[in-house]
Amino acid sequence: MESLLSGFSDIFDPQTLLIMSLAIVGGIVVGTLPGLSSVMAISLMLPIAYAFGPVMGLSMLGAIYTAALYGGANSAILLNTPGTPSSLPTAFDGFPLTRQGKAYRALYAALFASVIGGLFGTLVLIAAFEPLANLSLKFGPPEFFCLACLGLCAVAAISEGQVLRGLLSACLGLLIALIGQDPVSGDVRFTFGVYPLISGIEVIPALLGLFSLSQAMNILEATGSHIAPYKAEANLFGKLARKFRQSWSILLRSSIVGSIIGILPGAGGAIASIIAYNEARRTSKDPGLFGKGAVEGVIASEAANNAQVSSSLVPMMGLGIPGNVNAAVIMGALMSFGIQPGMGLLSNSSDIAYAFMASLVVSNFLLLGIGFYMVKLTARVLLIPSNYLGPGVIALCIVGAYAATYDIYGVWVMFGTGLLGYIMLRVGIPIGPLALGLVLGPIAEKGLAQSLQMAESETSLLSFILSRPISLVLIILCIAALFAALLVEKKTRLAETRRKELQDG
Amino acid sequence: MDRLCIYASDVFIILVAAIAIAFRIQTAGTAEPFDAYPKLITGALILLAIGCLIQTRFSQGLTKKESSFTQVLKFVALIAGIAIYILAISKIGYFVSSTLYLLTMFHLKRYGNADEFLETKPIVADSLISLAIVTSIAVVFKFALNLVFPESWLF
Repeated sequence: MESLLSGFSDIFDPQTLLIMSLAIVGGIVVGTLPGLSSVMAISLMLPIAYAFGPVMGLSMLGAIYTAALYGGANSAILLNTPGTPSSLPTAFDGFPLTRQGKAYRALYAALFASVIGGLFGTLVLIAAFEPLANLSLKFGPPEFFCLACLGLCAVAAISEGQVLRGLLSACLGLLIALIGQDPVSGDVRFTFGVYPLISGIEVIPALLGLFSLSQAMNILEATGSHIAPYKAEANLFGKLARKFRQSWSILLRSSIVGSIIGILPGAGGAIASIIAYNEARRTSKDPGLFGKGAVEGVIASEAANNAQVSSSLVPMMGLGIPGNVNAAVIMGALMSFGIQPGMGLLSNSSDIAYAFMASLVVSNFLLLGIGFYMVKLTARVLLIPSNYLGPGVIALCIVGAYAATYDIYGVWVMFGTGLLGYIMLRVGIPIGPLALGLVLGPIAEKGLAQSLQMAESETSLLSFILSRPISLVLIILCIAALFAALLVEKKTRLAETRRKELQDG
Repeated sequence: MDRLCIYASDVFIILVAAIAIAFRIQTAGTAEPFDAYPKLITGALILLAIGCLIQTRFSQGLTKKESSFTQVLKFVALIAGIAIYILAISKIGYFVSSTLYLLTMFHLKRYGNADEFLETKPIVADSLISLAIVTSIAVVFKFALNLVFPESWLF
């Protein structure tokens, strides 16, 4: 506790607070812009962080990470374009809310949920990073395969009344993710003689195409002058406070889900937010509202998304194993300061470790203050007429895809997936599951291939997987998620019939 | 769902199944156990496609969607416009191609709309707005974040 308090005293320095505030603003902008990821922002700031020294430099990187992950929600809500893969489920309900003229409600809900989730994740990091880091070591390839399966089964449940089509879309995403090199053997496959496909389908341009380009095309085809009405709601904060009071269990559950999944190396925020979203929908009294503008959906997704920010640093700080690319870049920063991550961090540089953890707490409070004012600025996107917004988003997509891949090939990937997304929307097949399939594909494939190698001495792969307790729990959860999907579909149909009956009579 | 739309979704699902079959055929040369996952995915995709086609036959009362010839033409023009823009950006350069693309799109989007503002100075306003968008994207990506930017013989 003393070490943590001393960490806070290191952070409460005017210069550090100013740098962190600027990092928060930059992080929100980067997260909001499609194509720019938190990794890109953190890596760009590495040389500056080095110049600032360990405490200020790491605090700045932590602040960018926190803000960029939150920033992804802004474009997801306003333009149906998730700025980061982990804000995918935010778009499911955030954009319908924008369409209903409730953009402010969605944006503030995302901000408050992100801050609460972020603080929860940081408390988990402070309180339990040592024992939890040990648990994450028990996750082997079979567990990762089962975890990816759980993410995909959860997809079935969120595909509004279209379980089969949702699964088809998810499998199509997994199929596209197969293109390029096998993650285990390194063999090149499914390129059909097209040379640039050897490097595979890059996730950022693909997501840009699926969500941004297809949306920009929709904007250009629409007849309205604006994408959605821009209006302020009366007594907005009163309504939000009531909603948060009613949704405290969703907030808590999502923060726990985000924290646990964040700890698992390689799992990522996309799985955390999708599982949290699915849980919120499953336990909701009116699951039919999800996907049509349920604030609870935004709360669940964003709380989980930001809870995993700090918890994803647990294996890196506790064991020296980066849990995701962001953690790997931050680990690089630690090493450039001559600090060895892992248990040595606590024994040799505990002051820096605790100052960094304290900075994550402060970052969330700064995000609350700065984000509160930036919401008003970002919501003004809705004032832009659609004939300017559509082409502007297309130009942004192209530059974003180019910047993400340093190549025109990335732009063509974005174009191809954009076209695919647009056609899928037109024929009534959800695109969210496809995006998740793309993200989860390599995790699932690597997990299965390594599990098969591990299970060579066993009678079958299934018996090998079922003999591992964590895998068994995850398999049970997969089956439960599929049953829940069917149950939710039935509940939705019943609710809709009842609504129609009430309207008729 | 309109019959035409059902046909469109059927065609899409059949195409997906055909792609899955093409991938399945390519898996034949892959060594074990690395072929297990592609086989699993392609198999699942083919089964799901069949399931979706059967489900479509029995589904009723879904949203009705209609597409006119003009809408299809508009869609084709939109796609062609984006493809030409991507080609131009890699051959000519970002600034010129983006400004021209935005200007054309602003004008085309308004085509046929009666608007007093349009009848007065649309070209001047559109040119200024397209230049502002192009410059602000460049300022954020190239100058503020120092990212790699599409460049070619012209600027």
